[in-house]
Amino acid sequence: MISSTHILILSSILFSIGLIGVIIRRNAIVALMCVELMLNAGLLGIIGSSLTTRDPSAQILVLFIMLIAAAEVAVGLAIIVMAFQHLRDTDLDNYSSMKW
Amino acid sequence: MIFLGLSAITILSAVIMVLSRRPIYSIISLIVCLYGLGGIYLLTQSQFLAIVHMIVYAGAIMVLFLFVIMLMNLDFPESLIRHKGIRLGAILTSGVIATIIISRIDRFAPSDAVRQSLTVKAIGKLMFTQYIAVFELSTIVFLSATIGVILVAGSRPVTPR
Repeated sequence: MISSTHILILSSILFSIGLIGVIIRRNAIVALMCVELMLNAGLLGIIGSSLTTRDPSAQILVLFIMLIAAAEVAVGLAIIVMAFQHLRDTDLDNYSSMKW
Repeated sequence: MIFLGLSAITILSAVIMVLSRRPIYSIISLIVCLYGLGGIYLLTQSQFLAIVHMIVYAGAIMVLFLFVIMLMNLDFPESLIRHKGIRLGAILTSGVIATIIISRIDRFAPSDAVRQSLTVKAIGKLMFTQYIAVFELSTIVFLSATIGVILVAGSRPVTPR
């Protein structure tokens, strides 16, 4: 039986790896994937902290977050595709025209 | 032991995802990482969540990433050398954040005192009775996301270069 401490530590390590990726990677798609990794670390944290009470509501919460994340990935990739069609580039440094 | 192996696979493939130069390799290692996470969900005895995670995340969402990269020819190799200061700052920042989170975690003892049933049947019953409004709202979110994606990505570029 795994304790929830182990899972919470694993989730925080994964979260920080995803944070490093978001900061150092300049490719827009890889940055979006790192955001996905951070989101998954958060979901793992929810599951890990629900291990003490074993409430099935936590799983339903994680399930809905997963479904929303699917929609979010679709919209994010659509925005990247549109920006690539306009700028012919996926480098986030060249997306600075989206600032204003 | 299984948990240690799975978490080693997960962390290793996450590091490979961040450090690999081509986006295709990043996607492949992220798929490995998500399957490791699915195995960890299985170890916590949330079977339904593990299955949904493997199908939705490692299946559908990663295939979406692969399709976008392969159809749009986005697989440019990227050099990781040019942001030395940013890299150092990123590692410092996330190291500080990870230590703060880890130090704030309460040390739970492994408890199997309360054994509620976490089967697919229990979860389905809860989802379609207590959380039915959330379920219906999520379908509306999906519909609006679909319309938005078609409007954003399906339109021709306004200023073709």
